[in-house]
Amino acid sequence: MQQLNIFKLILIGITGLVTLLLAITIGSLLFVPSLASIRQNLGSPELLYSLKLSLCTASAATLFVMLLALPVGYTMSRFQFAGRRLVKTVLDLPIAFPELVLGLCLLLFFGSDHVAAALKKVGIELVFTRQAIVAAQIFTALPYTIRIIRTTFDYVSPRYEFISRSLGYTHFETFMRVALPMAKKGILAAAVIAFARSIGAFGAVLILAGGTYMKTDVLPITLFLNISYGNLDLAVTAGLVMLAVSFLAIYIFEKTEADL
Amino acid sequence: MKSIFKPVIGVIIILLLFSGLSRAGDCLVYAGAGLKRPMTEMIGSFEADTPHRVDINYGGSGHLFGMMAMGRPCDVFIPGAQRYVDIAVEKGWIDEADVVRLVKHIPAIVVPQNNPSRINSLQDLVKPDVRLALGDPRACAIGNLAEKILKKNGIHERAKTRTRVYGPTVNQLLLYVMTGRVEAAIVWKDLARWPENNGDLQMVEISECRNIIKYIPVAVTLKGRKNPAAESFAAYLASTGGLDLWRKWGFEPCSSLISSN
Repeated sequence: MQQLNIFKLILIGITGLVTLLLAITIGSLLFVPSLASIRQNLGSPELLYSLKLSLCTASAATLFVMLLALPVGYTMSRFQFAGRRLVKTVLDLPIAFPELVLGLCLLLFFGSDHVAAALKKVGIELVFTRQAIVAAQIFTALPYTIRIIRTTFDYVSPRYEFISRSLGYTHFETFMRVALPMAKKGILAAAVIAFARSIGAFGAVLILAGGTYMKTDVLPITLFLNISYGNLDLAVTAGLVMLAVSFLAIYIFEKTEADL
Repeated sequence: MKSIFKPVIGVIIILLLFSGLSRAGDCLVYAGAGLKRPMTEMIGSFEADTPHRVDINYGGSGHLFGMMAMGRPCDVFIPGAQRYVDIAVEKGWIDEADVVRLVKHIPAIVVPQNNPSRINSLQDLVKPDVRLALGDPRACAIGNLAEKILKKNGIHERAKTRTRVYGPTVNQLLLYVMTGRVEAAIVWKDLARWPENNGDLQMVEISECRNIIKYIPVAVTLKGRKNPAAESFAAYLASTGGLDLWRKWGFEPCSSLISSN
């Protein structure tokens, strides 16, 4: 009994230390600039521009990500097919490799003359543009979102769907009226994570969209550029805005997950 | 009670291992991202010749400057341009006497292999249908200088309309030229030499009267002055052996150094 308590104490102690370490590290962002300079920087045209651009691009990216992740996540949770393991590996791959590599892959693919020409015909330009930001964000957020949606459907018993089918609903109707409503909260959580990942996407956005000041200048790029410009206060303010977004995202995520 | 000893000893061993792994070098250098190749070799031969160990941070000159501004330690500062050292002197981080002009830093135009848009001079950059990649004038030395060169030649406004991207770092510009995303970029001549030899892109020189040539300085910071390893590394960069390495990587040493060696 005595030993068990010491073990428990050590584990709780380590958890407390790690939490403290993270809190202090993240909190240090709060203590660099004065409140007045944060307020001033929050109103600066550059920050307003990148905040607006971040919110627009991340919302668009989240929409696309959800449209893609829902069918893929459901497929991976429900169906058995040849090559399933390979598909799973490919889908998970981008989680493990650095965003800069992803950015390089995207540049090489979307930048190649044939692909660029074909896309241009339908009005899409995916290098150095705002559309490029959305594309980079989609590719950054997609693998995480698919994983969450897959896990969500894994927790919903397929029995309800069998019953619905046996009562005469088609597969599509069953998906829309049974599977989706039952996975509602998980889907909301996935959307929140997709949005947060899109807001935070940096490496892929930098390479594909170029990171041009006041053009493809989203929040993480603003932070990076302003460190380069030696404007630490604005960099920190951009960091604080992203911190607020992540905090909100994790809060909503935890809340929906708790209800799951 | 005995059972508590094993984990404690384990933790101590892990801590010792980590302290061994992270044993830092005795000299911390900040160098411009464009100097990576010569600096890597320079450090290799310096460490082979002396007992010192060098830790190096590469980055855009502005970024490195920002890190110094945030109070991150730095012994030797080798930015892409004199300007950053001048500001550091003004701010009192470096004594002017500790700054040495090392090598010439020459801007040049790079174009994709086979030069699809037939760019042969600075004026050709503003031909119609040319897509340009330039450095962000506030973020990297070459961006600032390219803007000055274009202004000096009266084509800045037109070049602006041709510019598709202002990259925060110079290496990004090379990437966009090599992948054919733009028809031209202005970068450092030395930086283009290696991909040019590789056949990944072509270099077009800017005629001397239209160009603005800069110098790469090395400066020992006030903090680094107390560090013999920092002094010794800075001296090594300007030594005969050091200058040979610079030449190997396409840099021209400053004439003042050649005569003093």
